[in-house]
Amino acid sequence: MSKPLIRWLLILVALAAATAGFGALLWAQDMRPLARVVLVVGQVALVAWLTRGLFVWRHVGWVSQASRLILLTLGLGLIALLCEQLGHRAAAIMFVGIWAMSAAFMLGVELLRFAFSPGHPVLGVARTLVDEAIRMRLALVFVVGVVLLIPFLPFALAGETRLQYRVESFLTYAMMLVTMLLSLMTLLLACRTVSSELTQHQAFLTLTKPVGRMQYLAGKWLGLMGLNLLLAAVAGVGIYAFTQVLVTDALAQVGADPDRQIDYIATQEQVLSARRSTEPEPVNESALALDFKNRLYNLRLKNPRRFGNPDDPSTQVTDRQRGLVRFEAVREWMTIPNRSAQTYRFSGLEGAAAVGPTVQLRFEPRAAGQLNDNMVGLTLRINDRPFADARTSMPLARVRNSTWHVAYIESQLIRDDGTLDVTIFNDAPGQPTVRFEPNGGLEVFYSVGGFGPNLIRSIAVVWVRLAFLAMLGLAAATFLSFPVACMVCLLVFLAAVGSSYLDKSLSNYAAVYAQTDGVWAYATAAVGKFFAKVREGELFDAFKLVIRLIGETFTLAVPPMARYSPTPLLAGGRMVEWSLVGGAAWRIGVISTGVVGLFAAWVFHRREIARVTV
Amino acid sequence: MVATPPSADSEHYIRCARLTKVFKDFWMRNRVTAVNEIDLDVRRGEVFGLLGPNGSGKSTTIKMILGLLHPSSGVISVFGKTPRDVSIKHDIGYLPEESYLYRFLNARETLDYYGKLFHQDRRKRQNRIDMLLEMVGLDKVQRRPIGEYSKGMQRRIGLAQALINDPKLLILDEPTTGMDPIGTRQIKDLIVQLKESGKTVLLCSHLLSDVEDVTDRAAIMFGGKVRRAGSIDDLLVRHDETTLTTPALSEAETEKMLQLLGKAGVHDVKVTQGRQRLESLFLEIVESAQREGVATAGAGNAGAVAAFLTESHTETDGQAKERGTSQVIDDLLSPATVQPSTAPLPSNKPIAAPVQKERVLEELTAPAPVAKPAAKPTTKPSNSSSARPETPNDAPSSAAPPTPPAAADQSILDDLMN
Repeated sequence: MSKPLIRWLLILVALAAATAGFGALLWAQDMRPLARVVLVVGQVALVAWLTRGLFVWRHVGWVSQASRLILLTLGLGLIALLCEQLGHRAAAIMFVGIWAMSAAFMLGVELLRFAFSPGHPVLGVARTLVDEAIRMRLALVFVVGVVLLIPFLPFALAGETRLQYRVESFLTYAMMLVTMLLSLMTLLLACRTVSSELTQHQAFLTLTKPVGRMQYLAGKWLGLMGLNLLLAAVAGVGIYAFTQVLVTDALAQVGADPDRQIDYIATQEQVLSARRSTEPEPVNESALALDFKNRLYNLRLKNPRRFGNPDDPSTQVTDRQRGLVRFEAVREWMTIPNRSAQTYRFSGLEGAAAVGPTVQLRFEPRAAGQLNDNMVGLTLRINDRPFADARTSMPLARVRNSTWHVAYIESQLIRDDGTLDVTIFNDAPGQPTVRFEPNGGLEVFYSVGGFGPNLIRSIAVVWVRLAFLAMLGLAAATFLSFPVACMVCLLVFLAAVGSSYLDKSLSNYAAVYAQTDGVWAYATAAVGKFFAKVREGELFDAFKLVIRLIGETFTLAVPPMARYSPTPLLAGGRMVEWSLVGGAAWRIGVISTGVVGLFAAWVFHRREIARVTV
Repeated sequence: MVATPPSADSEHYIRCARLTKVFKDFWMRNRVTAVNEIDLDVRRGEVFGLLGPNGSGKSTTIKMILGLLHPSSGVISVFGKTPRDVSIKHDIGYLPEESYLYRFLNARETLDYYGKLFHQDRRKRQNRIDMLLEMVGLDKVQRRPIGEYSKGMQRRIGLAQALINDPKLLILDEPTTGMDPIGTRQIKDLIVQLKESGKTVLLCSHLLSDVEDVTDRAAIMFGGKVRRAGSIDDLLVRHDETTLTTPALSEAETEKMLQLLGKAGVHDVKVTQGRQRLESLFLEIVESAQREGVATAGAGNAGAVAAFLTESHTETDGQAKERGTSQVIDDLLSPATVQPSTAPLPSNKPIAAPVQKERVLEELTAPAPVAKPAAKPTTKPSNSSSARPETPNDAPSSAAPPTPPAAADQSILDDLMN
């Protein structure tokens, strides 16, 4: 810093201190009119001196940033004040949110630039990428999107009458928005930075310095990840803050309304918490095992070629087929005909008994036939005692069909061994069979953590996913032009996001049955079926098999992002486990990103940077 | 096949042997042979010019030397290593033929970025950036984004980035393209000064007068091949023509000279009035305007050569210790205002020097230059860049004594003396 600049700063601080000091002194002496005059004059002088300095030193980086921050604060502050005065409190909060997120981003960028300032090639490349992202406006579009939409969303969802749904919707949309915007920004920026530097030749200069090509790519990736970390952090804080705004706002309106009170408590316990769940088990496992055996026996009688001889051991049944049979048996077990009951045992609830006063039984009844009023009548018994809701002390009322419901059970009912038996009676006269879907149709939830840490883990998973996308974009741009690289990256991204859906679709599109498990057995079966179809003249079926194989090869290569999606868990108040974060970090952050990174390094090392098209 | 580079040789910074580059199409068919089995060597401490028209293969050769393109066959060695070896790049500075800088960075940030690539700590970077910005005359506009710079200003900052690491080998591809005459002159001066401080420069250009002013040796390329190579003096000397430069002569004196030459059998004589070079005139005008304080929005006056560029090599050679660093800098630095070349142009000499015509004639007719009329002309100047004639009309008389053709020999001089 130059001496005149330091002088200006010192005078600024002295002026502020003198104004505050004299003002406080006079105020303490009960010379309030004089104190006011001193404060006013001092503040005017301070503003004048500040403005003069900001203008004179505007070419200095941090002064210029401070000017922008002050202008932003003044501008948005005035708008927020105006909205508040006009009675639009929501708009005022929105503008304050926009200001806070913008200011946090601006300060974060400076921190990031500082972190990348040491004299190392990788850091140099990373810092230039951050500058490029901000100054070339490409990233700025997405940043503005995040900064504007997150504060806007809570008020756009005001139509939801229940707070619980409003918060759930906000969390779902906000997380989806952040994931989508940051993913697109990462892909576009990664593709652009490398391809444009190759076509506009900035890479010529960088790579004629002592910078390895791996270092160049590593620098780009580091810059992208730094920017993503900043944006994810700003978005995460924004989501947290506006969730609190929603809840606090609702709390002020709760009053004595019991519905609103229940809604508020439900929001706190079912959304703004981190809960684990446990699936039911049969009290008598042998009955389920016998059912499974009978089903397998019947299948073998019908189709011995596929399922094996009924008198033989079950060697010819694959694990997948066995799993399907078992699933059918469980589905049967979770179906309750009229005038009968089923007992489900939930275990592993030792921790839940220690933590909270209640656990939550979450269920979605599905009637197999028509209902007059679409309501289902069920009776519950907990550990063979009549059920009374822990919140209302009432038995379970009639509930809407095909809708999620929650019944609160006192934690003290959990046995010492951590088990809890829930018996469900389908005892309403004339009511059709009622079933619960396996894998989520009937669960017991218990709280194990707070919303804040859960949000941090969710954001961490999103960031790990962005690590892969950043490397994917860089890798594609090392040998493809910008538009082609973008298209390839988007294709991979969409396939990764919809990987589970794609798998199911491909399985249904063209079925292949392998006799044993394993890729080789599957490939042999697929190829065998292909030639069989060709021989039989069913060329379209053969073509479908080819399509399936191509699709499966592609989905095998892309990381299974759908498996590591934190948004439904966060919005449903479920625990985003560290195992999920670790799994995502290993599978996506290390394996997928590493493989793509090695590919990029190999391609970039081999290619001629100054290749001429003739 | 690309062979391994030859072993390290401290006297040869760059060696290319049978270097070939063939560009292929998508089907791997040969499309263009940009460089065809060329042999080149750039020696330590020299300024080497790589000349040729557009498309002759100069830039392709340079890109192969820098590792940006891979040779189809042949050998390249830079500091005794393959060009793809990252370690050699610590000692190379490269100015490409166009501005390949980030348009969104300002001049200071640009130099800071390139400084980081050389692992320079902050203090060292800032010192060098200050010196370089002053040297290229951009210190007043250092906060403006490069995208707002004129082409000449971009060349200046490009030159500064090439020097940020104080390179042993400086590769300049068309360094004066887009530069005004002041910038061109400054770059030529800089090249001379860098050479004097022990640096090696590979200069690639098709602006022949620029190359002629500063290079020691040159290779002329055409069609991907080196057509001629050698020292500039060897390449440029004309054995069939002699140039006499005198103070202004009256018509009668000219006539007398022609008659004397006619008597000696020399009839094809061309007499022209001495002319100032346009470059000199231009520089005089700009210098005058600067003295009057006329403002400009572009690059400012170029400053002294950055001290670190001359310090390291003089220290390496042990000369700085003898003379003292300040003395070295004083010797090398030019004043802050635009000056005529430190490699003085003939036109900067007094055009109408107060020299007695008779004395000139005496000097011209002195027997010493023609003592060995059959000998090979030896117009070897003491300073290759300063004494070399740029046009026949303004050839210096003192540094390069005229050597008449063998046919004129003693009889002409005898006539002149009578």
